[in-house]
Amino acid sequence: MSSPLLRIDGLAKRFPEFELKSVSFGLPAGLLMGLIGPNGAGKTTLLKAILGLVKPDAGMITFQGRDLAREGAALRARIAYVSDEPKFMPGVRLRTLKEVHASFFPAWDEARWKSLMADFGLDPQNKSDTLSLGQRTRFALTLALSRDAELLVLDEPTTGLDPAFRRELLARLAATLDDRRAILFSTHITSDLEVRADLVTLLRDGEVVFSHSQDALRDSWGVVKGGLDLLETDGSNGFQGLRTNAHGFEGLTDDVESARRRYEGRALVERASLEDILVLLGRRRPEGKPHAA
Amino acid sequence: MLLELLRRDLRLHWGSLVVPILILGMGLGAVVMADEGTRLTGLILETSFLIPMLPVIIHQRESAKGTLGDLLVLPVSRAAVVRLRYAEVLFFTGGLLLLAHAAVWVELSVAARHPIPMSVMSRDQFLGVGVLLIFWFAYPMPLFLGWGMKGLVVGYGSLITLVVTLAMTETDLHRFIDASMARPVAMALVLAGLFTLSYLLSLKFFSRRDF
Amino acid sequence: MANLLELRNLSKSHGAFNLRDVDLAVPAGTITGLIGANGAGKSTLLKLVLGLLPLDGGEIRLFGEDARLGGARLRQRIGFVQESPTLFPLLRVDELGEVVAPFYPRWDRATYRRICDAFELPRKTAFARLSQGSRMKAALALALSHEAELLLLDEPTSGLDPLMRRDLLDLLLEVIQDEGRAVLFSTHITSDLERVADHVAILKAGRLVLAGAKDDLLESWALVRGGEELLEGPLKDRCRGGERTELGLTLLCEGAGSLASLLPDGALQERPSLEDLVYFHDRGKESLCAR
Repeated sequence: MSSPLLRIDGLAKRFPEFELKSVSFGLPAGLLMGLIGPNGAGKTTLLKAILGLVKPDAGMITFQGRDLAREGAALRARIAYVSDEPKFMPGVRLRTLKEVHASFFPAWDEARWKSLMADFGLDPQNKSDTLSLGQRTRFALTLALSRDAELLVLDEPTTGLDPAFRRELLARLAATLDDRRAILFSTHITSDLEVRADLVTLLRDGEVVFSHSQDALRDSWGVVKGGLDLLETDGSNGFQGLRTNAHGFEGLTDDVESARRRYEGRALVERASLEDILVLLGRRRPEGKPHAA
Repeated sequence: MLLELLRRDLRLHWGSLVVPILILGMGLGAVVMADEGTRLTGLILETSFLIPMLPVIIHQRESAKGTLGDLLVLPVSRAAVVRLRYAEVLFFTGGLLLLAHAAVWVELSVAARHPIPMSVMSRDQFLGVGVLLIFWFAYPMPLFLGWGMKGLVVGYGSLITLVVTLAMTETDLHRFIDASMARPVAMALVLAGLFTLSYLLSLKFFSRRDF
Repeated sequence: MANLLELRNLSKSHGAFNLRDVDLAVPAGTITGLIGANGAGKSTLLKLVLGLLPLDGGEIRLFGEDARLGGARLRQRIGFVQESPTLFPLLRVDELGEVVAPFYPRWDRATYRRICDAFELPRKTAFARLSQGSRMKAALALALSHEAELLLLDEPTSGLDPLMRRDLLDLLLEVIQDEGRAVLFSTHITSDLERVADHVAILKAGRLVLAGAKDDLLESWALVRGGEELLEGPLKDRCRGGERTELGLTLLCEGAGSLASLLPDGALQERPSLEDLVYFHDRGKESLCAR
C-alpha cells in the first residue's frame, strides 16, 4: 500500500466535556472506510477536524501528503463533506443553492447533478425549507457527489433513510472509488458497512480502538455466548467486553481462535459482527484495562 | 474568490437585505427633497446603523441557520471569510455614497440650477461616515466573529452604554470632534488604522474558533 | 394467543398517497416490526391505529373491540412513542410524569420512577436538554408507566447509537415477557428486527406486500444468483423481484423449499436477510420477471 490519501497523526482536541486523545490512522486511496463508535466517541469532531471546522490542539492531518492545517482552503476543493444534519438557507430554491455551491468548484459536473437529483427524487424548484431530514441529506449528497471530489467525508448520511435507498447509496458510493479517491463514512448502522466498507475504524471515548480491514476483524474478533454458571467458574478474564442478562452472557474476545479452543463444547463461539464489537466494548474503556488490538 | 463569496451572499441573503435597502431608498428620496445644507445629514445617520449592520445581518443569519459550516468547508480560508465581511461593509458603504451622489446629481441637473459639483459631500461628512463605520462595524466585528452572538451582544451593548454615558455626562465632545476634524489627514489615517486593526483582530479570533 | 390489534382491509387516502387493503394482526406477547421505504405509510398506519386520522375504509380492532366504538377508553391501554419525541421541552423528567399522570387512571408513579432510574435518566434535567436516546427513553418510560398493553413506536431506534439501540431492544424484549403485552414498531434498521421481532410486516407504497412470522418469511423466500439463464427456465414464475449487475442476476424467489429442482446448473440459492426481502421485493419485476 502506498502512502495513504488521508493520514491522521496524533490528533488531539480537548473540549470541556469531551476529549479526542491522540488519534492516528490512514486511509489509502481506492478504499471506503467506515467510522463507528458510540455517541460521544468523537466521530463528528474527528470529521470536522479534517474539514478544518475544528482546530486541533495537537497532531497533524495530511491529505495527499499536504498539511491540511496550512493548505486547507486549496485542498478542500477536492474534499466533499456531508454533515450529520445538513442545513440550507431557508426559502432558497435547490437550484439556486446548487448554483452557488457549484461556482466554487471548477470540476462541477452539471449532468451528473441532474441525474442524481432525478434518482434521489428531488425537484430543483423546491425550496430548501420544505425538505425533510432525509431529503436534506439526499440533496447534500447530490452536491457532494457532483464535484469530482477525491475524498468524501460523510457524517452519518444514512440516518433516517430506508434500507433500499441506503443500499443503493452505498453501491453508488463504492462505484465512484478509483485509485485516486477514498471515502470516510461514519454511521450507527453497522450492517451497512459490512457489505461495502473495506476498512473499519472504531473510536471509543476519544481513542482509536482499531483501524483494520474487515477481513482482519473477522479473523480476530469473536463473541462467546454461554450460561452464567460458566462465567462464574471461568471469570470474565480475557474478555474485551461483557454483557449479561437473565439467560446468559455474551463476551467479546479479540482472539477468536484461542477462545474456540478454550470454550470448546462449553460455550458458543461465533465471529463478532461490528455491532457485537461496538455494543460489547461499551462506551468507555474499563479502568486499568489495556487497549484492544 | 472574494467575488464568488460576495455573489453567494447576495444570492442567499437578498431576501433579508430587502428591508434595509428599502429604508436606504427612502433615505435617498429624503436627500433629494432636503435643503442643500442638510441634504446628506440624514443619510449619514442611516449609514451609521444600516450599512454596518448588513454584513452583521448576513453573518448572523449564517450562524443562526446553521449554514456557517457549509461556508467554511468550501475551498476558502477563514481569512477569506473575514475579508469578505470587511469588503462587504466597504462595498455597501461605497454603493450607498455613490447612489446618494447620483441622486443629487440627477436632481441638480433636472433643476438645472447649479453647476454640478464633483462631490456633493463635504470633507467632514466623509470623515463622519468613517467614524461611524469604526464605531458600528469595526469595533463589534472582531467580538462577533470570535465569540458569535455573545460577542455581538457585548459589542453593541458596550457601544450603546458608551454613547448613553457620553450623552449623560455632557462630556465636551464637540470640541474634541472639531479638533479632530481640523486635522483631516491625520484623522483619516487614524480611521484607516483602526479599521485595519479591527480586521487583524477578526482574523485572529475567527481563525481559532471551532464550529 | 389473543390479538391485541387487528387491522382489517384498512384503507386511507392521505395527501398524495394511499394506504390500501392492509390486514395485520399483532398477537399478545409478540413484537411486530413494520418496515418500508420513506413515505410507504408506516407513520400513517400508526396514526390510524391511534385514531389521530379518520379511516376511509376497513376496521381496526383493539383488544378485541372495534376501535371506533371504544375510542378513548381503548387508547388508555396504548402507549405511543413518536419519532423524535418532543413532549414538553421545558419540563424536567420528573415533572413530565406529573403532567401526564391525570390522563391515565392506571398511571403508576412508582413504576415511572423505577423505569427512569433503570434507564439512568437524569430526573432533574429538562426534556429538551436530554440526548436523543434519552428522550426516546423518557417517552418510553411514560408509555410504560400507565401499564399500556400495546406499545406503538414510530422509529424508536433512528439516530441512536448501537449501544443505546441494543438497550432499547432488550427493553422491548423485557416488556413482552409479560404475555399480555405486545409491541408494534416501525424502523429502517432491519438488523433491529432480526434481533427482536417475532413478526414482520413490509409496507410498500401503501400496501402490505409481505407479512408474517419472521422465521417463516425468511425460510419461504430465497435469493438465487446466477447468469441470464435463470430467466429462461421455470424459475421465472417464482421470481418476485431482482437485480441485474455486472456480476450477473440476483432474483428473489418464492417457495424456497421447492426451488432446488428448478435451478439451472451453477446457480446458487441463499437464504435472504430481511433487508434483501425489503430491497428486492418488487424491484425490477417488469424487466426481469415479466408476465
